[in-house]
Amino acid sequence: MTAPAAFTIYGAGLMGSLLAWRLARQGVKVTLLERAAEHSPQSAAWTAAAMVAPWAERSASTFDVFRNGELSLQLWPQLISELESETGMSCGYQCNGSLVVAHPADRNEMQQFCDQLSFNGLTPGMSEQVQMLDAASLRELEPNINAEFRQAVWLPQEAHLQQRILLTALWRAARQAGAELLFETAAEQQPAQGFILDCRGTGAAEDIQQLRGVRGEVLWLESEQRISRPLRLLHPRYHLYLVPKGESGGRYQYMLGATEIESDDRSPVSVRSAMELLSALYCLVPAFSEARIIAFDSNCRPALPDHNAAIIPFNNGQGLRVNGLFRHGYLQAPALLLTIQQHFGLPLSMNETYQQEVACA
Amino acid sequence: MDAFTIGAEKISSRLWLGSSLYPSPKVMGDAIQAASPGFVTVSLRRQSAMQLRQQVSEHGHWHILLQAVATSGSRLLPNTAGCHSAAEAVNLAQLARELFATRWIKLEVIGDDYTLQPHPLQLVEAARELIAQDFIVLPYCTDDLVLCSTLLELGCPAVMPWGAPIGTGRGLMNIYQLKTLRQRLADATLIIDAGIGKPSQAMAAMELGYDAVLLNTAVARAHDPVSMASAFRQAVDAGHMAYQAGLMVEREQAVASTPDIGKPFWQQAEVRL
Repeated sequence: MTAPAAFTIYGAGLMGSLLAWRLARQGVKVTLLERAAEHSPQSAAWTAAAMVAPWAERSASTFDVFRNGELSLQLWPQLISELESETGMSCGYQCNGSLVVAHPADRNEMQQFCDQLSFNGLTPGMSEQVQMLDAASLRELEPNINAEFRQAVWLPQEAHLQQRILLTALWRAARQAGAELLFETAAEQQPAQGFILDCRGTGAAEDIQQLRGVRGEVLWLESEQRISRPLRLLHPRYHLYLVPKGESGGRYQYMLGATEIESDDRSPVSVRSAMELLSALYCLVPAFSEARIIAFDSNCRPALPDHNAAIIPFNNGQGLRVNGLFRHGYLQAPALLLTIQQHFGLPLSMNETYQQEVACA
Repeated sequence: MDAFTIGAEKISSRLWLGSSLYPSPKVMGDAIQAASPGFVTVSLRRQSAMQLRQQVSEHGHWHILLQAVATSGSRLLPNTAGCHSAAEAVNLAQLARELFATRWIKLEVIGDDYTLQPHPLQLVEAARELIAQDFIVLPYCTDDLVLCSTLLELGCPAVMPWGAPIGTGRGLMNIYQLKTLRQRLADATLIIDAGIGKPSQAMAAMELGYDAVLLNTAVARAHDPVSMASAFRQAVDAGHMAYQAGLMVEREQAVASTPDIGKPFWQQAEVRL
């Protein structure tokens, strides 16, 4: 198919912003419409913890999500390096692995987690990507972790990034490349030009059957204590993660999350959720008892019934809806860019060699 | 699977399923199809009235659940999971009746957060109040005989003693007590609720003469929930059929099932290698 000369993109979340940048730098006309104001983004991507963790998420995801995650891990470094060189910003992309732990009293949760990995052909200790750590090695990687934790699943190839810097950088790079970004402008307020890419997330619920919001709640923390990589705590009643979010003046910032509540509800964090998240944190890293809570945040993830992402043609072949990334946006977005390029011929200048490697593996 | 009745209502299956903890609504729907459960329980806890109403909206999680329940020929059974007092449970039951237009309620009042053991006194109080308000109350309770008979006397059409604490998957922890319940409450409808981890444990409950089993985690947390739902369905069927067929009594001494007399060469010495 001949690439259209003009694109209208709905939604400045992760997918919309990535598409705007990739298309604009190819020299086509791009208009991005976003309902929220630029200074107060409402997208799930802004609230998310931005981990690229296919193995840690394997038990909570489908095979399609896992495969997209493996592919995204290969694609992110080049995207980040192009973005950083075009904007001069640093997105904090770090590929220094992640750790999964459980309190000794909850060792059955750890067993269940390992069983799930084995069931999916990823038995801990049998590959580079999924390893088991003993207490000493765990302490070496993360000295501040609760000393009662005697073992961990070590996922050395997982990555995370600073989502708010990334989104800001994408907007800057898209504008530099000639894209027009119209904030505080809903899709229906502006006549669409050319090919439409609908990336509104939960905002597209009227147009995508069975799309629903799944509430997530997170806390932002600041501490002098250092944790270098994402930690996940398995617990019988909830799963929790702690993700480093950069440092300023000797104080480190972290995100603590996330609840998963079946409700399309954007109201502030509940007392119960805050208590659960914080008591789990206290168990995970006792040194964080003196950390400072700097923000509470909540939002809704867009989810389809099978929890897979979907790319849905509409507008008589002159549009795609990209939605349902659920809790796996940063895990899947680069892989979805590649899919959109390969299957729908959009000029996104994604490196196609990676797809082949995965297909051959 | 043969149907049975509770109160005047026909219940299509003796396997009942919970609707939490599935990897996705799609998998939950497929598991419900595979199990064709008599009831599917749904939890209302942790949500305000406003949030609850959002969930029955067209795109909500419960909408998917309601569709799966309808197409599998099952029924919805709202529960009061997470309540710690009779007053809380009564409020939640009223909300459930309004939301789902059903008089049925699985009454759950937790007395201890660590074991999630039902609170017997609050349970009785809540059951009395809800029955007065014309609910059909199925109480989740411990296996205490006096508690179960009290709940039945109050007007609960069935009682649902635990096999083991919720989510533990430890099976029938006190077989002696469960047998006693079955014997002493011979005419009552008894359902094992909670603690079932394997199809063999569900089958064991049915072989004891229980009328149904209710479980969630064992299916939802299986690597393949849909296959596990199917396995439980077959186990519950087989267990009930075995109970009806009449189980043999265990003996102390071996008794050959083939008589020796009439068998050629039976007197010959065994072959030595």
